[in-house]
Amino acid sequence: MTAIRVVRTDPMLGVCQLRNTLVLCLGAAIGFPAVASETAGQWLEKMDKALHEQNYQGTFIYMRGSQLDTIQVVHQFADGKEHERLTSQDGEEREIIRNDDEAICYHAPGEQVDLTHAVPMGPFSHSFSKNLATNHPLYQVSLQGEGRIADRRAVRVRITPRNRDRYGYQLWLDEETGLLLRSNLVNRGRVLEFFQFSEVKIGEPIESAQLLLSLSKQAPQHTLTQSTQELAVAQVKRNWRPAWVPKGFQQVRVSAINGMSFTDGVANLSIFVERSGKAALGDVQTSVGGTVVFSRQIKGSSQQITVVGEVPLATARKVAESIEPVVY
Amino acid sequence: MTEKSKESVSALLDEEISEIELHRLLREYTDNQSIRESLISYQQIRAVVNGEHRLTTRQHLELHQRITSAVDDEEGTSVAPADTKTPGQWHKPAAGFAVAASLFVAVIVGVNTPQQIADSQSATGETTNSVTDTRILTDSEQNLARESYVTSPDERQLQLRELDEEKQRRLREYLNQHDRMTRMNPRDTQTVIYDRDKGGKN
Repeated sequence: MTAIRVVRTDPMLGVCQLRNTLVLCLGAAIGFPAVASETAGQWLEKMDKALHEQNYQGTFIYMRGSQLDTIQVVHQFADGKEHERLTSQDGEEREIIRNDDEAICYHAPGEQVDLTHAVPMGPFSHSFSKNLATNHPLYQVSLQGEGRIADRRAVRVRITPRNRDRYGYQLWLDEETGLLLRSNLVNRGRVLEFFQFSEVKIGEPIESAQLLLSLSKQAPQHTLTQSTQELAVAQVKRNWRPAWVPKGFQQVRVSAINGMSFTDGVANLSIFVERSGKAALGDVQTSVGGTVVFSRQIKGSSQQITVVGEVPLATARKVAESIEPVVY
Repeated sequence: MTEKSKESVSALLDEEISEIELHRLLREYTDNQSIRESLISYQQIRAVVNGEHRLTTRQHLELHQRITSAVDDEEGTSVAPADTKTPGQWHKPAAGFAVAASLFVAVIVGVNTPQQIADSQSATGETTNSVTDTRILTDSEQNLARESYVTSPDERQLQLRELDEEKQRRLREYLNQHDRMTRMNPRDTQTVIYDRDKGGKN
């Protein structure tokens, strides 16, 4: 019998995924320019805080595998709440309106809406949480000099995994505010995902009108955040479990009802086990930028295991192959 | 430019484009201004990402003329008369188009031939990824270009768009579920620990 106990993560070391969208970050000390005495960890702490508490607006490019998107963003922090509007600048007209944890994607009227489309919200689904900043044992965090992005001076931070079972990051943080201006998701020197502001204004007041939907409210829409109906707390008994996940990955308390989710505070890993149905997926491996999908059908069973995560393919495969039945 | 074309352009620059997609994109490239412009801007972004320097806008436009001519020539010689459908003739269009495609990939993706690297080094005294020579590639260079384009880091890995629609739909659902989970509020991402914890052991 496998018992599970829930452990509340220290909020200061929170295994948080970056909430919904955009990153950006402000240093704790607004108005004070960067100083050389600040450590890489302190820079990441600034980034985490600023994610929620800074006003910014600009345009960024986000390249994820074969997808390349240009997005305009307006982010406001007011009265303790985040409000954000993301507008696609090329391809299909889309707008994402986010108020704290609720995000809705609107499509141009008349468009045939594909609800399974990718959501180019930036690299911020890949979390850079506070625990990275505090001597995370699985990553080495270091300062790598300076640079210039979107006409702003930037501090370069490198996040290097200690094991090859996960990816690394290169970050460029605004020297004045700590805002993330550019990031590369890297696997053994190869850039898998790329984010960069082409122009950005930080710290200026955001008018409410800038956050209003420009498309018709009757436009086709769908919610991007996971609905409660789709979630299940970890205590739900499943008849399977992974016998192996990479070191440092822990299961998050709430998972999709058909799966389990894990994080090491930086990367995320989801495992889904379902009946394969009529159209079996069979054995498939693919990737979108740094996110890999490895799916296989269990021999002699109708069950299909699918592992999705920001980890190398070999890691996803090893997790999938470790799935074992649990007997209660 | 359609979403599909946009995806194909990105895939081309990622060197992950399928042969079918490449041929379709090549046809569109020759008569679609927006695709040409996108290729230039995408490639410039890619060059920034990789810290490389590739073609300038002017070089791109010059090469466009050469690619268009090459495609026109090949299409002109590859149309088989309706009453002379011999196997050899039917193969000719595909073979001819493949040459244009490999040229297209070599130019756009920026495959360097040893000669180009040598030219570049002698001209600038350093190694760059710039294609400084706008001549049509020789057969051996085309072979090299083709080989470079098909040799991906993990050849067995299918691209999502290469799967059938139903598989794509299901995998995208998993991807989106995963994305949504990773964007959840921190309060929902508290972790649990198994009493009999096998996880975390390498």
